[in-house]
Amino acid sequence: MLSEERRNETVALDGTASGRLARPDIRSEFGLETMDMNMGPQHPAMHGLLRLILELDGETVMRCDPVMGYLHRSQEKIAENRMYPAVVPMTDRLDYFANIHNEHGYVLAVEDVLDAEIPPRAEYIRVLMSELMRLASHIPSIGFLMLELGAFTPILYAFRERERIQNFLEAITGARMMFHYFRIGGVKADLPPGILEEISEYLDGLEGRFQTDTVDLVTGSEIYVARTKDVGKMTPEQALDMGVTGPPLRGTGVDFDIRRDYPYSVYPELDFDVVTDDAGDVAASYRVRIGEVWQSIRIIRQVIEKMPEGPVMADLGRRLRPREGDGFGRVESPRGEFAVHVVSDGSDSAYRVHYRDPSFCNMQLLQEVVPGHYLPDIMPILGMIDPVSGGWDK
Amino acid sequence: MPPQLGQGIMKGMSITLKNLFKNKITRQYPEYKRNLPDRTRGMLTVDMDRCIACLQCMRICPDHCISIEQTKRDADGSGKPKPYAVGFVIDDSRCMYCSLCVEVCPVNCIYHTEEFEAQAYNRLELARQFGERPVDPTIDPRPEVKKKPKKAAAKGKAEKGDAKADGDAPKKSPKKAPAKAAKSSEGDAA
Repeated sequence: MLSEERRNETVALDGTASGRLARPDIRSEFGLETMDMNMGPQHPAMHGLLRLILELDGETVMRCDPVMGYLHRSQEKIAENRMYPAVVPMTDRLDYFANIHNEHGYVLAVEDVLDAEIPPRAEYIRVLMSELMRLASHIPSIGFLMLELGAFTPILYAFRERERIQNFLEAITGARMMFHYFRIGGVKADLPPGILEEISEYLDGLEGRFQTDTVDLVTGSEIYVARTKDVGKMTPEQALDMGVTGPPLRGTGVDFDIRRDYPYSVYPELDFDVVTDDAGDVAASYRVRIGEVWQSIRIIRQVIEKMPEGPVMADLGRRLRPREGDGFGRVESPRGEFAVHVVSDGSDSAYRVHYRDPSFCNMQLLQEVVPGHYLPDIMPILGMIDPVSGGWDK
Repeated sequence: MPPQLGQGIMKGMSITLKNLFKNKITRQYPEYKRNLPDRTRGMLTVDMDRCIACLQCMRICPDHCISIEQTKRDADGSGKPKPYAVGFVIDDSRCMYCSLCVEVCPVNCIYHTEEFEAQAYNRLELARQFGERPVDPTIDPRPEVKKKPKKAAAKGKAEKGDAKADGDAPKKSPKKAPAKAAKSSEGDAA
């Protein structure tokens, strides 16, 4: 295969990906110049409005600086000027591809300041929603990765599944994307009758469809392997230094998952595995995502089985005035660790809110990992991070 | 052993072929509209017969999309005038369908319909008086926001002090203090 030759060439030069770069002495001897190039912000393959300043040596990237801020809406400042319950619909707009996790993070942080007790049924509904959302985010993520490599089919099958999951979410919450379902102290309303059986039935079909239409179709494909194997390779130390979380981190072999290591909600009562892979490249993060889809299905089945009866909302009073102090909530979103820090001054709106968004933090990986790769390899590396514009700009 | 030539394409086409004989999953939207679930949060509307003009929906709305003009009148002749809404404007161009107003309403008079197609030629068409599209879209139905003169506003703030009755009250003493300190230190450095 062509890529194999290409890599052998690289190894012969220096042994590392950066060996592809022309040495400065050679460059000056032949009068070679590097070229600066802008990629984005309006680019069909960018995950939103992201601009990359690239320095190119031929077709090899020497430097890659992401420029963010094209979608900045000052969400943190808005959260300071609103009452606590009125911030929840705004958190939907952060990572708009996995909104439930944003709501969950914020709600956990405020409940931490309030020292609130949440009814068990509400906790189970939250986990059910989180895992459905994870399915609805991971399956299209795989599709996006393939779309960036030029394969159009998987994204259609992926969105077919996402739309069907969205139908469930719409039946439960009333909206297809901006759910606003979690409330401080519980969830908005109980599940509509019969929805658990429908979800259970859907999952039976999903397992087979996901296996044939996505996993079998993509995994063995020669083009896919050539474009993703050893691309975006990083070591566990590198990943930890850069603060990477989520599937890219687990793809390097670091066994870290907020759901298990810093348990929240009812995750300790559920049985699931943390999927890891050792390769640390784009293909590894893809395998991790596939593994997590199976784990999510497993978790949803357990939740449906264990779903308790009871109220779905704790009585916290009409106007929330938490004590002075701060609260912290962290959840495992499909892209990594989503954390919220709320500082309260005793009034009915927060003194300061901070969001730690995985899309933003994982973006650091570009500067470190991209140099030495060819220009078209940027796309799969972005597909590995799978950032969302609303998340990194807040 | 190298993979057989054409094996990949055979695998792909077999999946295509399988899906070819399944039912279509796309729907032609304007001609075909699916049934929306009961909880659908569409455009807001208001039942004025039940409204008691308590202004709670107006206060909780994060986007300030509801504006109510309120007077008091003695409708039942009991001698105790009750609040009464003479204007109730829902501005759809601002609404984000978060449903906070629906939850806060004590008499359930404001509610979501199943309508979601809010397009209009004029922005003022979206400001609906009593839940209905305006007849003359050139007139802004929203009550005028009275702007206080600057001096009076400053005085009002000083008097309010710690009273944080409204969540949108922008001034808070602990917030302001560090900002001032930072400014003065900058000035010193310069």
